[in-house]
Amino acid sequence: MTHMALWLVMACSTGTVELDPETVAAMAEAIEEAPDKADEVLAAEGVDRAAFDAALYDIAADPELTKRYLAARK
Amino acid sequence: MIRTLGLVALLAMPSLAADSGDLAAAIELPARADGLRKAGVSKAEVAEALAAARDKGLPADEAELVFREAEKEAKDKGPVDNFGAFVQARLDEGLRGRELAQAIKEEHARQGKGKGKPDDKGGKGKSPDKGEKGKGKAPDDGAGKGPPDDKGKPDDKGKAGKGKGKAK
Repeated sequence: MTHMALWLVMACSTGTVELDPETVAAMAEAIEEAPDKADEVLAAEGVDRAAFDAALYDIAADPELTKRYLAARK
Repeated sequence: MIRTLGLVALLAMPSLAADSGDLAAAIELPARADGLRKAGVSKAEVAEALAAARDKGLPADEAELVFREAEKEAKDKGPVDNFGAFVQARLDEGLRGRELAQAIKEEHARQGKGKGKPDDKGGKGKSPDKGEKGKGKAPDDGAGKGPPDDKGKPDDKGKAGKGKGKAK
């Protein structure tokens, strides 16, 4: 049980959650509309700030993912 | 007691606002990277700079700040050479956030790149084909293109475009 809890903490802290550009774009829209609920937006997708940042870095570095992300945003 | 609690709440407010502000900036990072690529910085250079920032643990909002400045400078003055390596080196020196953004701005000023975007008038004079047609000289002699530091400047554009053969 303790090991499982530890694994979950590590998984969250290393930002291993995979997010597609459309999901990140939807989260970005929600954060933009209600900045004070940003934590809830992240939690709803099961990611922390580090994982969200990692997803944004991944998208930014790839022109194709960037294109999808920007297209999914208003 | 109520006044104390109110004071504590007021002190806590800016930090909460800063967090949401950070995320609002962070979500613009892909757009900044896209703008930088459109301003003429290669895909590989942008990826290298992003990887360097990520490896150094820069939050996405801080990277966005740096890329915003780089995008603005690249659009105004053209891309700097070896952008990725430059960002990596400055990060290795310990520069972050506004200091790093300022270093990028200074590098643009130092390199003294031509004005305008690479696909506008400033870039036309750099084409070897244009140089050949205008001057009738071999493209590898550098005629009409000027020294590397001059490429893209308005003066070069005029000479190369007119093809009057005035350049050496």
